[in-house]
Amino acid sequence: MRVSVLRIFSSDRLDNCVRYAALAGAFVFFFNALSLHLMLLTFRFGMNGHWRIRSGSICLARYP
Amino acid sequence: MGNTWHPLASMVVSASLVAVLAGVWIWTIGRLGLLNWWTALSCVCLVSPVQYENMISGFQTAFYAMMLAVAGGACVLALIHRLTRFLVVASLACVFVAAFSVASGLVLSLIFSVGLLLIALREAGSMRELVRSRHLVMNLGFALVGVVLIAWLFFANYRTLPVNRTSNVSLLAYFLTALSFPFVKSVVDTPLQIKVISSILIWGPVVAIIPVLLRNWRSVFEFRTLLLLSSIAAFVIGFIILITFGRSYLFISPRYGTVLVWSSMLGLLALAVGVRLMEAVRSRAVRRVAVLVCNIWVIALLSANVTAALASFDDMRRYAEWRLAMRDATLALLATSEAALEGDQKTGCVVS
Repeated sequence: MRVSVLRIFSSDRLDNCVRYAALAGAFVFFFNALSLHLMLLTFRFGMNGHWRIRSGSICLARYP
Repeated sequence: MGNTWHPLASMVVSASLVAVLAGVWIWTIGRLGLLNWWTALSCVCLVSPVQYENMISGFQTAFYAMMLAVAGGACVLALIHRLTRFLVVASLACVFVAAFSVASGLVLSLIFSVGLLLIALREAGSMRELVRSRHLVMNLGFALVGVVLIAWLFFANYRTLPVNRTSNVSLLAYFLTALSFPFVKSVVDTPLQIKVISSILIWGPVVAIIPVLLRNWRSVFEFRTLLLLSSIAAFVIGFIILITFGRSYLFISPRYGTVLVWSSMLGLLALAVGVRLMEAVRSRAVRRVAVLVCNIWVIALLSANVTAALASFDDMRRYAEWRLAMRDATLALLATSEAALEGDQKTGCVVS
C-alpha cells in the first residue's frame, strides 16, 4: 500500500497537536536553512570552506 | 565525513536540533491547551538572527543541543508529571546532554532535581507520605545517584576558570542587560531606564504568573504549566548569573542569544497562561480588559523581537568584516616560509 506523507498529515486520526508540531518544526528548519544561506551569501564570513583536522589541530584547507 | 569537518553540515545539524525543539515545544503547549496565535508565533524567536554567531558557526551546535535538552526535558516533565522510572531516566539523559554540551548545562541537574522532588511531593500528598512510599523514594534515590554520577564525571579533570573580578555595579549592569536581551545588547551605551523597561516587558508576565501557579499547584493544569514555565525560567536565570560572573563584557555576545531568546518565549507562554486562568473570572468586562492587555503586551513583545532581529543584521555585517580581517591576518602569518614549514611538519597539511 502506498502511503504518502500528505495522506498521513491530512488523516482524521492524526492529533492536531502533532500536526502543528510538524508544521512548526518544518517552518523552523526551512527558515533557519534559508536565513543561513542568505547570511552566508550576503556576508562573506570566510568560514564556509572546509577545514581539515589532522593530529588534533585544525587548519584551513580550502576557502572561497 | 572522514577527517574533514564540514561547517555547513554542522549548521544543518543545528537547524535540525532547533526544528525538533520547535516541534516538541508546540506539541507540549498544544497538549496543555495553550496554543494560540502568539504561542504559535513564539517559534519565530527560535530562528531570530540575534543568535547569528551560533547559526553560522558549525561548532556551536553545542548550544542548540543544550537548549534541546533543557526545554525538551521541561516539556517531558510537564507532560508526564508523575514520578515514573521513565521520567527519571529521561531527566537524567537531558541533564547529561545539557552538562556535556555547554558547561552551564550542569545547572539543569539542580533544576530537574527540584522538579522531580516537587512531582514526588504532589504525588504523595505530604512529606510524611513521601517518606513512606517505597516506589517514590526508590525513584528519587535513583535520580539522586544519577545526578551525582553526572556531576562527578563533569568535574573529573575540571579546570576552574578565573572568576570575573569587575565591580559589583558592572556585574549588576551586565545581569540587567542580559535580562533585557535581545532588546538591549550593549551594557554601557544603554540608559538604565531602557534596561528596566525591557526587563519588565520580557519577564513581567513570568514573574506575575509563577506565584499564581504555585498557589494552585495541586491542580493538574497549574502544576504542569508551573513545571514547564519555572524550569526553563530557572535555567535561563541560572545561565544569566553564570555568564555574569564568568563572561561579563561590554556587550552581550550573540552566542548567548540561543538561550536568552527563551526569555521572550516564556513571556509569551506566561501571557497565554494568564488568559487561560482569566476564564475562571466571572466578570465578563474584567475578562475582556485582561485579554486586551495581554494582546497589547504580546504585540509589543513580538514587535520588539522583530526590531531586534532586523537590527542584528548591522552587527552581523561588522562581525563579517572582523572575521575576514582575522582570516587575512592568519593567512599572512602562515604564508611566511618558517610558519608554513612548521605547519607542514606539525599538521601534515598545507594552506592552499
